[in-house]
Amino acid sequence: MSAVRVLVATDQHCPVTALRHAAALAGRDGEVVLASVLVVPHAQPLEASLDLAVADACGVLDAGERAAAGAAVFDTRLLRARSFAEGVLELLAAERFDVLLVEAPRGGLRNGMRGQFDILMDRAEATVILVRPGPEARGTLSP
Amino acid sequence: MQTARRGTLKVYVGMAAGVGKTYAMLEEGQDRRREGEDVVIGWLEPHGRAETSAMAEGLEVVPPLVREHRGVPLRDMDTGAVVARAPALALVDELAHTNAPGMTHAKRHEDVAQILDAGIDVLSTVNIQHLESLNDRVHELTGVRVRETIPDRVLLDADEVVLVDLTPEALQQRLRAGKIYPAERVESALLNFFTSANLGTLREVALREVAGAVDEQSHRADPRPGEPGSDHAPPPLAERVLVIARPEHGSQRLVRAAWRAARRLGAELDVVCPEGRLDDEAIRQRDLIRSLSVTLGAHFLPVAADELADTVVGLARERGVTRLAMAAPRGGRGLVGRLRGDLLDTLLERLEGVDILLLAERRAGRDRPAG
Repeated sequence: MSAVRVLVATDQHCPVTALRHAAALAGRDGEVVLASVLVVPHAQPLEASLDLAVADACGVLDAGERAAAGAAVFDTRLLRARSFAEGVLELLAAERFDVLLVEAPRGGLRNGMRGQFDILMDRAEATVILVRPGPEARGTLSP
Repeated sequence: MQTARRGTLKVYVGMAAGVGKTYAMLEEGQDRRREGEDVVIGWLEPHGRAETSAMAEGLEVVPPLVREHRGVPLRDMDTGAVVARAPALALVDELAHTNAPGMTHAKRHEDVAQILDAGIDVLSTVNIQHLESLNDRVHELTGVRVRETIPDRVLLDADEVVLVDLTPEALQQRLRAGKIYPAERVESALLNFFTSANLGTLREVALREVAGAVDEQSHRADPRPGEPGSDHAPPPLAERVLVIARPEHGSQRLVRAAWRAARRLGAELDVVCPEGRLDDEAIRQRDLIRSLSVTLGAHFLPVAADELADTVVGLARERGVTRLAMAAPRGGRGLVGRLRGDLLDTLLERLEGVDILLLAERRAGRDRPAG
């Protein structure tokens, strides 16, 4: 049986709780991949430099690496897409993942993320889990 | 003994077919003929465009060489005949063209090199997506894969590079007017390659590349201190960062860190990925590095792993690198640690004037096999 691969997808924050769950799901032999999706507005070309947003996304991935240190095998992806769901679905189409985790910030999904999550629930081939950190979740790492 | 002068190469670059590269080349050919230069057409691809054919009128054409391949007659430039004709200037369309089997050279840019070596000036044309280093990027951005490519060096070594620019809207207008393709192909072209998004992207890429090539020519034009061919970096016009990212786990973090350093400096970033005999995991890591480089807007440069130090030194000189980033040598006495230490020693010794940033490796999770 092949090792479990878990994708943790995020847009602008480091999903510490989701990463913790992902490591548990992946187990000793599995792999956790943290993907930061850079959403490029339609008014701009997909390859627009968007330096600040890219810097933030890199910061999220670095923070994720620190948060995941010592856990399962860990890797990162930085994606550009027209929407969060589009980026995640493209990655799921390109690579095999068994589980997809999306973390809702405290206070719930905002800024259209609920619609994006619905799209993922509808179209993602992998098992989709929405992680909502409880009040005990601390130490959220931000870029 | 007097050395024969090498001809000069001027390349008209465009973002796509139909912007008017061939027309501009012919126009200059006509101007120079009127001024008394001996001008011939070595190769012309008018693509059935009336304006292009009209602009070629009056220019002498060197007859093409016809070779039969599997019963099909294939025509290509008769390079030998162009050299034998010995004009002052030869017009050679479609620099990225791949010759028919059995020709002396596999690629037209090699034919052009032969003509230049004979002391004949050449005007030529190429679309930006044919540059080797842009092939993957253009494919990623537009979904279109170009099969015929030329090494970037050909453009960088050109004496003059001229961008034939046209707005995406103007090009689409030309397309709709039937000036580029026959009527039956227009609709499909507008829906596929000639979309506003694709053309906008290609136009930006073309502008950047031509600006880069012009930078390169400025470097060459300036007298450089030190011995000819020395490893001293040329005086840079701007900061440029190069990162060595081996196809192994953890290299993406190095690339991101180098990108941040480049961004702070307002610099371009080159990502050099040494490739030897890669196992499946290394191939996967290489592809991830390539993809990340594209996302970051960096230049991904796969190179042979053999003699990496020489390659990096050469690239640093050619591209005006001001800072080089690499993983810090591991402390252990293992093979990887020794190799990285040797590489660092060599780079420190040979890349005077280039800052070297050593980026600590952070082990995330368990080790995975590296390629």
